[in-house]
Amino acid sequence: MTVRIDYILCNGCRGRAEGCCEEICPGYLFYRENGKAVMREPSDCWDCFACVKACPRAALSVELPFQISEVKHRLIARIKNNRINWQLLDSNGLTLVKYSIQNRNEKSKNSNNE
Amino acid sequence: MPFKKDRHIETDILIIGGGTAGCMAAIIAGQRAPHLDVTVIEKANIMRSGCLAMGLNAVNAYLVDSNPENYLEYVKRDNYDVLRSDLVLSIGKRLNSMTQMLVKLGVPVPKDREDRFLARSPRSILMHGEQIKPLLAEAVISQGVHVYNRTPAYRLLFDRTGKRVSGVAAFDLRSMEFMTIKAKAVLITTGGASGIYRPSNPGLARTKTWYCPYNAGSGLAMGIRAGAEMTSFEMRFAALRTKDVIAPTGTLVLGTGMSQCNARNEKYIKKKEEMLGRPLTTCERLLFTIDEHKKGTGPCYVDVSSLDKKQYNDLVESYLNMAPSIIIDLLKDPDHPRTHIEICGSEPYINGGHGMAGFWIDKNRRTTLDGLYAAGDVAGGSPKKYITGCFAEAEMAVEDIIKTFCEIPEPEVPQKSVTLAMGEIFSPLYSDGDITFTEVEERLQKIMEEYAGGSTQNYETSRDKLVLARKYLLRLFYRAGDMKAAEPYELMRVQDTMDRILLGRVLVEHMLARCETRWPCYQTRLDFPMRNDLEFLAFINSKMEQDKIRVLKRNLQPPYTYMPIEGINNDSTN
Ligand SMILES: Cc1cc2nc3c(=O)[nH]c(=O)nc-3n(C[C@H](O)[C@H](O)[C@H](O)COP(=O)(O)OP(=O)(O)OC[C@H]3O[C@@H](n4cnc5c(N)ncnc54)[C@H](O)[C@@H]3O)c2cc1C
Ligand code: SF4
Ligand code: SF4
Repeated sequence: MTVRIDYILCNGCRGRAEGCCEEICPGYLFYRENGKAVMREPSDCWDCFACVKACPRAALSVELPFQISEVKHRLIARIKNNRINWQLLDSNGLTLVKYSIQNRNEKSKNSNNE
Repeated sequence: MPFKKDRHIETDILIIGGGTAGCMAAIIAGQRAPHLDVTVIEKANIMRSGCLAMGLNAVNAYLVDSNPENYLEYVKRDNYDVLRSDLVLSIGKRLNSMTQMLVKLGVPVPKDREDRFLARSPRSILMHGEQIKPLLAEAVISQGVHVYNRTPAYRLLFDRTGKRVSGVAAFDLRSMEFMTIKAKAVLITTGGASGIYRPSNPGLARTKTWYCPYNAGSGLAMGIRAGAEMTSFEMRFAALRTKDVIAPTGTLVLGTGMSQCNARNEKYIKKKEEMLGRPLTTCERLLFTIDEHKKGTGPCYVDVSSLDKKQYNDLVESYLNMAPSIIIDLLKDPDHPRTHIEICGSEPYINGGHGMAGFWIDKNRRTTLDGLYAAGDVAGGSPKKYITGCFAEAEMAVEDIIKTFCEIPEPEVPQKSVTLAMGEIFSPLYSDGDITFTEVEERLQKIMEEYAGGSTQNYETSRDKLVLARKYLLRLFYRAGDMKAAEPYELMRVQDTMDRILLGRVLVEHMLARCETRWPCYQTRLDFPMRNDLEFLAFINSKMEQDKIRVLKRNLQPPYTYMPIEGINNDSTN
């Protein structure tokens, strides 16, 4: 796996012309089928986290492919109020570590919620 | 799925590729020439496209306690004297003002108590650049620039004389419309190229490359097809990176005081520097790492065991701002974070932002094609420009466009060339060929890896191997016309693959022409293992003429006159 899609959380960005993941991925790797996100070709993913950061339902996370790591931890990111919050989860979904980093100047015109 | 219909747009300034340089060009054009119509066409989505998609953690080119002349001296030494001093110097003069632009955009660039940026080295400062791309993109949009996302461009369009670039042909990945954009001035900012050599990782991990895997070098290929002069393709860029995840190592070494060691814990880089009495060049760091492997003292590591808890946290945060997935590996056991981080050389890329390969340009960033400008990783001659250098080039190009704008004729593109471009771009949809882009891409990568000095060959090659590469690539080039595409995504991949093959061919011709070893690893000829200043303190350039790649040699000093080349047999068609 590279990007993991949690199909319980993903609602296909119902009501949007495009899924947020589909809209943002620099490799154009997502499309939607039966109301859920599908990845065209997981082996073409760069692990850039753009989709993870954009998903409004926190349905996406990144795992290292088995070819380079046997560890099944995954990393997730949420953006809010000029900060990005990272969480490393173990294979049971338990939080191992958390980081919160300022990602925009306070003064910046648009505070973000990607 | 055949294409639906076509759509024609006209604009004053067209920017192809809304990445680092492209976004900055659009912002500056919007600010300084509000009366002009500016259009960006982008293969992905400018909110998160190109090299900056993940974010960045440093401004790699900022003059802390330095000046433009020192910057030039440093780049020159690191590049063994072959570079365009005029271009590098012009970039050096703008690096710091471009950093201020970033701060104004809202990117957090931390400062110390004395209001100075936090330096990692004399030429590099820290940045919390996770949002750098969305911030750039928002600024572009707020300037009223027209942005077309998911619109990869593949062919330049010319005016009636066939000499002046007057637009570009592209298609919309979502609607499958064929698009032509006519413009008075065209700036190309599509970045460098990855995916030409075999990736370091297999299977599902094959795209864990350092350089953005979606930058296929289509801008370079467009230029080559149209007869633009290219420079220094033989100087590939390969990076010393963390193993497997291929994350940058500067984060580990710069500013932390940490150093590289071999499997016996010997500080091989420090030792070499003491022995030589000077700092190593960037390519030597890679070379001596490979040497450790050859001596049996590999693998090599960055030893971060002496970082205290706070410093280690800073390190993790830095990576989260730029190459987040390495954290999964570093904190595999969060109670005992990894202290020895293995490093290796990446696959080689074509790139004018770290390396020097790209369009041959003048001081105003004009290419050799009338009406076409280039900036950023797609522009050659000035290595180590990084983001701020890309911004600087964008600014220079836009300044020249605005200054000369009233002299530019109205663009007109004859229908014949539009039809031709459409045919070339859409033909894979109608092909009844029998091969997939994946097959072709893997074949290309195998040829390049094994005959043109890939990482598993320690980046080394020689004449006879290159001659074979030339032969196989040409065969592949013709056979690749049988690639088939059933839908828009596949069509993009087929076109990217065609472009990569062309770049591979040009690269091989350049490597054949430089009969010396100037930049170990970036360009190593086992049959000419030494530098040859007598003959090769010069640029190797090339131009496509009647489907053949013609290699040229240019003097190192202005006005860069052409020099005779002996012993270079040009692209043969066997
Ligand atoms: C992983 C990584 C980390 C880096 N870290 C740093 C750092 O910390 N500090 C630093 O100063 N520099 C860093 N650099 C270097 C710096 O990011 C690059 O030099 C710079 O971003 C290149 O800018 P560019 O505009 O030329 O290319 P890009 O920003 O990649 O933009 C190219 C754009 O063109 C688009 N495009 C491509 N083909 C087409 C087409 N056919 N049609 C339309 N659009 C197209 C792409 O989608 C993309 O948006 C890093 C680079 C990488 C890859
Ligand atoms: S962004 Fe999230 S919720 Fe929306 S389609 Fe993608 S995975 Fe599903
Ligand atoms: S991590 Fe990046 S490349 Fe991979 S699927 Fe998400 S957006 Fe696309």
